Amino acid sequence: MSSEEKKLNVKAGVRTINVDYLARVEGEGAMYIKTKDDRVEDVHLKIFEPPRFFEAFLQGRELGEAPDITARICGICPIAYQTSSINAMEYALGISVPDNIQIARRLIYCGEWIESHTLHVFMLHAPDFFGCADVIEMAKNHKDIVGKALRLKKAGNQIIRVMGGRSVHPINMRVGGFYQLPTKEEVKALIEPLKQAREDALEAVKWVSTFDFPDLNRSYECVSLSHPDEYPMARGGVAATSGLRINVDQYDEHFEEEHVERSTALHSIMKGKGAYLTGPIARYNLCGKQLSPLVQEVIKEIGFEKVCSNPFRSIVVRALETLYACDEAIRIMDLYEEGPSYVQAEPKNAVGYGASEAPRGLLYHRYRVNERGLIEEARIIPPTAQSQKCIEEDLRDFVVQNMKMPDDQLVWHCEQAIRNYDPCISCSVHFLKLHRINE
Amino acid sequence: MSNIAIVGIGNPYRGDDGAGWEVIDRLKVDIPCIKSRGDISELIDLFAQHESLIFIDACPDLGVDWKRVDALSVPINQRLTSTHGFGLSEAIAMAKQLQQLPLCLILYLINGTNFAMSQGLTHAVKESVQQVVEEIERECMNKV
Repeated sequence: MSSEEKKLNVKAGVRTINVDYLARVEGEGAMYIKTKDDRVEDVHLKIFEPPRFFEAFLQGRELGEAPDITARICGICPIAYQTSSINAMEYALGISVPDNIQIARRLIYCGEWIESHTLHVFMLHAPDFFGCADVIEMAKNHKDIVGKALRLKKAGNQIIRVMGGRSVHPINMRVGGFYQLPTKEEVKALIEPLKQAREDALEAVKWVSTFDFPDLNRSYECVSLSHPDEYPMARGGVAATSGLRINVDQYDEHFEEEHVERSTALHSIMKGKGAYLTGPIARYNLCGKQLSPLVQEVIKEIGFEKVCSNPFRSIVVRALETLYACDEAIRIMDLYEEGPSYVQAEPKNAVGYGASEAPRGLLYHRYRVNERGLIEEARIIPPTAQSQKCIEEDLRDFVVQNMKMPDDQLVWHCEQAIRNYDPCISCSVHFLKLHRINE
Repeated sequence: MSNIAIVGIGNPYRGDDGAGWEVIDRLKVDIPCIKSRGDISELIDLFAQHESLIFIDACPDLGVDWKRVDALSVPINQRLTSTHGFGLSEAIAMAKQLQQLPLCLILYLINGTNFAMSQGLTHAVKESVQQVVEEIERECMNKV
């Protein structure tokens, strides 16, 4: 990043940190922080990427098209978009899918977590801890671990290719199940590469746990899906630190979005609470007990806290979830049965609510569909939109606690504080008011 | 390790970004031809699995309709299209660090002007595609 793009000025007690273009995040965003004397006056995460109007052009489309259309919102978490939209449509149509489809969904979701988390942990986030501009620079001194990261990411890709038809922009998921389920042999063939991936992920956890983490402790209101039988991924109700336990169809009663001028993404708040945290730390804090015995053992071995309150340590949680996804994928591959590939249902007038745990947090969809099977209204609330307020609060707290930090270090850590969230800005830009005037 | 392969990188739903795949569709050569969407781990795997590779990729602001670049002898300074900031140029830089580059790595870069969500190539890119196909077929005859 050039000095023109990254500015820090100190004048008459006023200090501004202005990063015009955030690096190593997906999409286009900027950061602006202003302090005066010992006070932080303004903290803005600015999202200026243009809105993409997905919710508008879903209107009038057939409900069965929602998974493949919304998957195009993000090249790195298409499974999350497909799953949340499918869950919503199945709710609307009253479809309940058999266990073999639930297992197949969880398996492909494991693939997405492995792929996405590995990309973020090694290629976007880890360079921060070594003062490197990017992973290519970091690879100079960490060839072995970067090579293993590429192998780990490939294992995630392989699951998605087998279950989803192809590794980039998979196309096999549909309302009611899958267009075609792979054979048991095709799934079993993934086990050996996954065992290697699990070893690589274990090494990754140990590696990231040794990083030097900046100090910051926050008291988060965590929000994630929660399911009695499993660590949350593709299904569940909504849980929060404050004790909230609701079904997904009650989401709008407890959460709302607001527009702020500086962002093309809406800001989410929990009604009566304000900012809340979603993503790996939220899942870990709320549902960590459901991680597998192997992961529990590793948590003890590295001495990781049961409740994580330092956002800079999110990289450890992401690595633990990657290990879990490998372990869980191996476990459920044994349970995989071909069975019926989907369940069909007749369209009807209904509203459908669905959510799943994208790698970077809770992804909520709501659709109103009609008896012809057409979408009349769509609402998509991606994790990055939900995280914006929390990111700004992290930045504010970090700056307040580090007023005396040298300028270059402060800018570096503030950018790092944003990358703690693995933000996907392209997913989040959905500020949209569509007014139609009929004369 | 295989000897040689030709890889078209692109996304046919992103206008001119489909050029790499279109070249692969038109090539008549007795060499494995692969369509890739440019995932960095898959690209580095391809580097590790082959001695010689020819890549075709579309990029904006090339300055000429198309050009052939020996990626091992000149730095890649073109802005190649990529997903989440990781595409062919990053894969080459990464493979260099990991010492996983093939012995020969040739890029055919095609200048594109439309990378928006759309299908079909612009007229200029269609013409470049045909020229690149002919050039690669000539190059392959010489190599074989």
